Amino acid sequence: MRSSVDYEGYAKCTNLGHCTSGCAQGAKASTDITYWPAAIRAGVELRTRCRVREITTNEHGMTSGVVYYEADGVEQFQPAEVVILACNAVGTARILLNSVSARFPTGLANSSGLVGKNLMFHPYARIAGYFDEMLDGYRGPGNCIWSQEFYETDQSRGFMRGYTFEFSRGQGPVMAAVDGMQIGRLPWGAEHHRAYRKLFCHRTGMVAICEDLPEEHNTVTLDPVLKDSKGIPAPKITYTLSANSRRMLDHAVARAREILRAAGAYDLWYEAPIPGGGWHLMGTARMGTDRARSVVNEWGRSHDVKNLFIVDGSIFVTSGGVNPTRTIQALALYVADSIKQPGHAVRLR
Amino acid sequence: MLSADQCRSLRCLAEMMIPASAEYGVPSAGDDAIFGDILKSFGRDAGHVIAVLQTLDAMSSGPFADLDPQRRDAIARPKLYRDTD
Repeated sequence: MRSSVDYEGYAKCTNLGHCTSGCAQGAKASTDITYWPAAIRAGVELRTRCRVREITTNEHGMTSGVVYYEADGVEQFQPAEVVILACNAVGTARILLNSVSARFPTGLANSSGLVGKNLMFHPYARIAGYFDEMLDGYRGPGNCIWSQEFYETDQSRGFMRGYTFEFSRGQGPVMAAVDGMQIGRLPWGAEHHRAYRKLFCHRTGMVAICEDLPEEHNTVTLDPVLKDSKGIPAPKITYTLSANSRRMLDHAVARAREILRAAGAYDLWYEAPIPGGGWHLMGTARMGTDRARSVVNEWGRSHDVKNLFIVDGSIFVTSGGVNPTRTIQALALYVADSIKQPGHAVRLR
Repeated sequence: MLSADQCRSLRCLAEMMIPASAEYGVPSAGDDAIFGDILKSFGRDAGHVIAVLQTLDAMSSGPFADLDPQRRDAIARPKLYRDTD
């Protein structure tokens, strides 16, 4: 998100166009500009480069704090009246599964056995083509138009749920070069300059963000051997692209090719799923009212541990076919409000 | 950070990757100003750069830069070039 005017600490967008790499103008509403300054002004202490090993519990089955390592490796214990996890579907599941005790032998908050299960990514299809006319790829945010024509379930398409098309203007000069090289469209040597001029400001397209569905065999577990530098068991990810998602990707590629051809593109290219995908992490501590079928309740609170909350993508029950961050932020605000409501969430003492 | 030989080899490699073009009126990546910036800015990738240069030197049985252009091309081409279009 960006602002057309100076607004509460972030600057007016001047269309520098490298939004995904960070904004030198300070016009991108990233959390370092929005939430963190406000939180620090309100008294939050931010400790960076720390790594939590486990959440501890007391004789009442409540969380009592966390054991963590500072950047220099020194182990610390932080007592807490409430623990709020925000590590997303891999990190949150890893910490919960590492937090074993006599009372919680399979990990914290895991009486349902669902911690780490139903891992969801967003399978992405990426489709692009070349245009003869100059495009304005380097001006302004890259993703500028969305279409959800194929977002809802239509049984005639052969798959459940759907996807969002995100159209882009194109890429700036550096991204065009890096991406062109990665996809094999920008050779080194004598042909480099010709190929680059064909790419830059002449190539654009879209991605399709497909809604992955929850499947219990897609998991985050603890690796039996691998540990990190602090000796904390590492997460092990097991994921299989479903037939439903595969059909959705194929549908998206077919529609995208039609769109690009109609717009005058040629030399069409696609990859589906994109090989570097899987950065949206969701589903491993799902929300629900049935404690046998979910990890946290409708307030984001663990069914098992009354002063443990989760405010990240792990509580999603399905992935949605959109970028998840704003939903995560909305859920975090909603859960924070619920924690403050007497009678709703937790007796702190 | 790089030895003088490694510096020469890296410049040769940069010129192979992005050569000068009279048609488009642009210098090669071995141009003094451009190459100087490359040397200043590869910082965190230094380990990888040095490893590549050591590999090229080993394949060249000496400094990669000391080979004639045809030999350099024969050694580096399989590692640099990808099929396009």
